[in-house]
Amino acid sequence: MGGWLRTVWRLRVGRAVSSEPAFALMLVAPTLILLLLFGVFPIGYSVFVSLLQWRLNIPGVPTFIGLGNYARMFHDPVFTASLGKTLYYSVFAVVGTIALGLATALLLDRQDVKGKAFLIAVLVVPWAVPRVSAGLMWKWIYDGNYGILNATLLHLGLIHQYQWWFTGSQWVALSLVALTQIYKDSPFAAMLFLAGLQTVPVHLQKAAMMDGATRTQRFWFVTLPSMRFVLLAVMILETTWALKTFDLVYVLTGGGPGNQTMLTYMYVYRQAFSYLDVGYGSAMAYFVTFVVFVVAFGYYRLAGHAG
Amino acid sequence: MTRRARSSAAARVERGLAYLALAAIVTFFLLPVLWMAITSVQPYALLTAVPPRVSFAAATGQNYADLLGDPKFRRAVTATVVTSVLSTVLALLVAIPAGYATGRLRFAGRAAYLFSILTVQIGPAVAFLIPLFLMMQRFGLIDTYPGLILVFVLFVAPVAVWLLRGFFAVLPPGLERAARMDGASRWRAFYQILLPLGTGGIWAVVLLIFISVWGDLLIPLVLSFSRVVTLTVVASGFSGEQNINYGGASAVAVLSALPAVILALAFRRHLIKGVTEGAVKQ
Repeated sequence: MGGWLRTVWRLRVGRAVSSEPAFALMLVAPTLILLLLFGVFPIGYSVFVSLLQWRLNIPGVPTFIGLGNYARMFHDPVFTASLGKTLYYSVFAVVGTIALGLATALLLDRQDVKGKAFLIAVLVVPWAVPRVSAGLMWKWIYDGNYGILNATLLHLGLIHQYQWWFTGSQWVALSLVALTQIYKDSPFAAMLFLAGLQTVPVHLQKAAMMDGATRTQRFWFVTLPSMRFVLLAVMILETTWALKTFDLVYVLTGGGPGNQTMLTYMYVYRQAFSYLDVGYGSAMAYFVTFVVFVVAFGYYRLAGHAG
Repeated sequence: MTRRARSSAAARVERGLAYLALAAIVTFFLLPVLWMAITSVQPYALLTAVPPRVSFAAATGQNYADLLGDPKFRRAVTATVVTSVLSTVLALLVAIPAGYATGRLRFAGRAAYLFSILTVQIGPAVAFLIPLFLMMQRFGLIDTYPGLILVFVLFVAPVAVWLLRGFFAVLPPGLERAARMDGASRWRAFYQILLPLGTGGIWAVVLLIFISVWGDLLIPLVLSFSRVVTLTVVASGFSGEQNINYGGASAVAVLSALPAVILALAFRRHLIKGVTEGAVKQ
């Protein structure tokens, strides 16, 4: 800072920030401006866009159609089908991530397990790998012509010939995509759970042991309740991540084959940025936003009851 | 004595089972990465072998040579490094003061502020990207560094504020008062006393932000066309082909994962510490 700047700073800003609230406001101002200009304003603007028939690739003026895009949504079979797929996908990913994350954390937390530093390093790897890279490698594993999943299953005698996993049942296809999400997200969940396990009061564990509680009982009645907040945090994170999953689906299936794995979020992207139907895309984006917030609020209420 | 022997035998069996389960977990987490690395150095003829065959004698760097010789790939490396570094730095510059303020200072509207920045975090990115795309198109910011970085900062700053807020909040109370008594301004109390104490947490946030910007696909896919196309976009391009070149795809997947993985491994202590502090705080 130059000398004159410093003087201005002292005289003007220095005096203004002498009160705590003013100082605090100055510190949050950059993020606040960023949020207003590029968060609040765009979202307001897109309310307006969602009421228009507006395709960027078709010349012409956008026309006002009121709630037309919202009505269209519920008559669009791809969209309505995507809702069930998204629900299935999210439940699968959340349950899988919590189960694998918790199991990993419990194993790492054992006194008699050695090599924890190595195991933690192992967890960091899939967490850091970009979703696109993870998607590509799982796509190669699942490949119908040369994939090692086929080779392994054939070798074990579980299948009789190579399969194209995404073209059969949509539930199989969705499960396989969700499995990659579990692969990507459960390491972070495990780290959070491991941290949560450190907060379980030792005296409670001891007391339960004295009262003759079995290991299973202690897990359900002492360990889990003590880490309910971490559990809830992982549930919220993973649910919103699953509802907003994009990279993995984009790379693994692109929503196909056909619309087999067209999750709602992916469909919004397709409409808005592949077909450039920004009006319809905005309306659907609003619907997704609404669902995400309802779910987040539901968890929030759950947290209130738990606490 | 026999009871004790029996229970120690049971403990040994249980311990063996625990190691077995851990081995399965380690395999699940590492095998795909290893398989990708192996695939990236295999000649094409071996990739199409049924059943799969791996030959280390035939290992080739051709896929990597092809990539490094491709100007599109080299541009993507530059774009990814520039975007990730600048977005991380800028996001920190705006998030550290805000995290400090919300963690340690009292002011009207603090809760409202924290809640509203969280909505950007929870809200789906596409809902923001459609209007942002239209706005940026109008101002000529599509396919430019400022446009891309701005949007990244918008998306990562909220979570950074929330995390940093936690790290600052757990520092001992009264530090500012003591500094102020010694004649320091509020500003100095913040950057000379509190900021150095919060660096551990800041490194965890640096890692989290960098990894999420580095690995993001949606934002650059929407906002860039040629000049600022990132590695993830280039990598995702391989998946759209009719007959996917898995050797090339694996090489690009490895190269775009490598910096993130190395950084994450180097900073993992901070990450674990940050996560643990976050969990204990509750």
